[in-house]
Amino acid sequence: MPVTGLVLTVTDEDSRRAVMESLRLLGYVDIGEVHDLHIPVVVESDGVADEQERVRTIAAMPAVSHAVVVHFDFSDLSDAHMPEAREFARARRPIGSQIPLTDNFVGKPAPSVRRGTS
Amino acid sequence: MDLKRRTFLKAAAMSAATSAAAGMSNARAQTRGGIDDDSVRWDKAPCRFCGTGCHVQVGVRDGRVVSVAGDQHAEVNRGLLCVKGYHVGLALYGQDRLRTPLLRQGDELVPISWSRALDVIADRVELDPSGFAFYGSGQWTIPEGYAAQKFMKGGLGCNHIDPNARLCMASAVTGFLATYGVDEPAGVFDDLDVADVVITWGNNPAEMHPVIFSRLIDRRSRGEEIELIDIGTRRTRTTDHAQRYLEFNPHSDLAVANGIAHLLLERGTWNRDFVDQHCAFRWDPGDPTLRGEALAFDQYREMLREYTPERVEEISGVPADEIRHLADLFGDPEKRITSLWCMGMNQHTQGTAINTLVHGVHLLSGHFGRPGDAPTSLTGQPSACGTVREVGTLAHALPGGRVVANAEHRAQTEEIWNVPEGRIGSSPGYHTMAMWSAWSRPESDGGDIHTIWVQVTNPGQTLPHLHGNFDPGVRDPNRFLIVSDVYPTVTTQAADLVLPSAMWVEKNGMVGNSERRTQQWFKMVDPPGEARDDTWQTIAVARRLYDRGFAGMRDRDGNFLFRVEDEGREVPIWEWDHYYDVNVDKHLFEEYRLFTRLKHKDLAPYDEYVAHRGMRWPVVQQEDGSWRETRWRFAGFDDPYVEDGREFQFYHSSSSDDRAQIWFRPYVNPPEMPDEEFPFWLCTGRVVEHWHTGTMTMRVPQLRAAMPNAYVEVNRADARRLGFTNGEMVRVESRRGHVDVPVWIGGRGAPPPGSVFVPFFDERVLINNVTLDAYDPISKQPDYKKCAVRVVPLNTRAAH
Repeated sequence: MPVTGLVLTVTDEDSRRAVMESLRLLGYVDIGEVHDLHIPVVVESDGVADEQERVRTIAAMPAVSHAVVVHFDFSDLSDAHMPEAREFARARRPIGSQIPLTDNFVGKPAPSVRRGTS
Repeated sequence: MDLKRRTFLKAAAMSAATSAAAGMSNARAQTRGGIDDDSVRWDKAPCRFCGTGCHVQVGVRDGRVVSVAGDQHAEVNRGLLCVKGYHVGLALYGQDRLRTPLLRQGDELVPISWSRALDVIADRVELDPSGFAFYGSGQWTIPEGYAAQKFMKGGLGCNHIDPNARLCMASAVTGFLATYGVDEPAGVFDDLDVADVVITWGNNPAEMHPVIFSRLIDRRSRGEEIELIDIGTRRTRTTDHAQRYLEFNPHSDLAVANGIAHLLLERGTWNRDFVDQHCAFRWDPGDPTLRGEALAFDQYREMLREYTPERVEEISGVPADEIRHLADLFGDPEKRITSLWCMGMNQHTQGTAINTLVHGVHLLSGHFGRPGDAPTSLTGQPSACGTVREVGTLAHALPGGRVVANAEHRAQTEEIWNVPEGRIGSSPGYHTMAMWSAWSRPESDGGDIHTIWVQVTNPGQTLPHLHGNFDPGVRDPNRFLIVSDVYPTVTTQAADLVLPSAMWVEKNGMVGNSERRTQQWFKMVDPPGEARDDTWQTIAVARRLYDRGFAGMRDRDGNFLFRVEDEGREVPIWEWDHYYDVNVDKHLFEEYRLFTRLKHKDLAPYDEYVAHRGMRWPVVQQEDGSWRETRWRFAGFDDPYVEDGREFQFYHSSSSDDRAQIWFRPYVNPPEMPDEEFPFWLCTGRVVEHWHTGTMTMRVPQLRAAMPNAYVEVNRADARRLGFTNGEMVRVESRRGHVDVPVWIGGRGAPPPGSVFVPFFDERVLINNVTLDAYDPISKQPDYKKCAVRVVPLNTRAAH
């Protein structure tokens, strides 16, 4: 199960207080020692999709101006969590035509993180 | 997971986060390294992906990478990583890693032994060495590129070696050469820590170089004022952070740069002292060239006269007042101004021209050579600089800034390689576009490349206009394609021979990032199955040729070209079981290092890079024996090659007088523009989650989930006019081909009316079937940022 270390940057002290309050409501977050406008947090997740969603949620909090991930432990992820080989076309590419989009194709891209994890 | 271990993992993550937060507050970073309480062994490595060169701490347990953390000791990233960086460990573990050599038999790729694979390649070389080409990469490590370079130019006597970096930064190279007489930026990332103004020219560092961009965010969070000006053709996440967004008509950035220069001269706010002492003027009266002809100042001023703010507005669409504001900034000597650019200026049929113009604006205004004052190009690949530009894995180049057309340079190289005089050909080989054209055209039409060996890149997805430059060769039974890679790709699907490669920390490596920083790492885990290092593959083929009596693989003394000795005895490094008996990277690097002193790009001994998180060249030894890196080139206060007492010295000046060149280059129309039949501009590019063609990042579940497929960004007004809705499938079509993609309106990026954007990471949506293969006449770099397309509905919706 992924464990992720993040640093959140907020815009000012009022924002910091608001973000800290919001974070405390999330059961999967540990908050570390704050340095100025930077808040270290650790996110526990139950799985891959869960981790992605939780990090997105935190990064998108109002008043979080920037979020970066600095640590990521995935020691409990097995091969079963990885995309299956069949998802990647192995046959010779049909020249001049597009490879058919398979059932994992998602028509509407996932919504962007307003203030992302970059 | 037991509670104790989970508690430990959380504590480790919190330690990393707290240290990084403290680092942002200028507190002292914590130490990592060694073996921790959870039996995880930690070691350093640069990230596998972009040209930023972030260092990561890689945690390994039981022969598997299990954890990744930003490296607190790395100056580049100061403990931070982007979304790709912290997932880099997972990129090793896709289920479909290539594990054994595969040879095409009919429509199938069937497993064969390594020995058979080496014979197949040797057969193709012996068919005709002059028709054998090597297509490499800015992802080659320095030793990989050096080995391939020596194999081709020193072994086969064939100069047909070129990298995918031709597609991404060749125009930056020619821009530096035309301006300073020598390649690569004079500035460094540190400039962003002190700049008052940062201008992004067709550049989106918030997504493409997010850790570099975080320096600006961090400074702002401390209350510092930084003016960010985004000059672009599409709103991006960088725009979201900018005070000013200057949207220009595609291709018209040349007019914007000329407009700034014009105002500096008209207002008298250019830096007379700097220009008088350190600059000269140049232009091309005829066909575009790298050297051009000298130009008098008055002529230069006259040529710029038409670029008034109003005229520039007419050409570019950028309001005249914004041009004036840019000129205000450059005309203020107290400001520190850093320009950043990457593909927007490089993938441009006037790429060399716009690169030289931006350098010119900085030189003319004197915003150069002080910390914070720098024109800095960024690279997209981890070793576009280290391997391609410095090792010189280009069709015309040799290591250390040498070129094949220069007899003295060839002789120097033949001496270091100890190969017979005359071994290296004097004619440049095929650059990327010419190479693939010569492979794709039939022999009867001058197609004289019979075989291409591809390493660490995916041309079947990235070459422009694939139907013209890639597909015909795949169909031709006399053409042969060898591909070394880690996963199946569009290119391996078309290959005749596929070689499974080791990647990242499955091998030793060295790379060079965007700020001249050379970095090193050691192998930490074994590659899967029979996957092997690319360097080994090259050396093993060389040895197979040597064993067959191929003369080119012998040096002047009759020894193997890649001979490595240990305590006086030759080590059979061509045998995989013995490859790691010695550090082959170190041997190759120390030989390569001899070249680096020939053009003031000195590198330190290998062991210095083991001890550091990279060092920026030139790295020179000091009197006390220590090695000192250089941050600001050509500046007397820092560059050891500037003569004592001089403030600046452009010591590789193409005019041989220590002056940099300020060029005049006029605005000209692009080769293809929207019209009635194809009314939209198409721009292509990357997304933050995926690196290049998605070969690695699409195997990472989190990244794949975050951005599962390509799309076409359509302006909201255009979508309304055409009746498009989000998720609706449309066809994006040019004169060369089409793709079918879902529409994204109001998405991450926002193109202006009349313009659309499609990312290139998705192998199921080959947008390069659509793009144009017109290229810059000097750099030979194609333009992926603009061609004419139409967008038509397919009346279907994508599955959800």
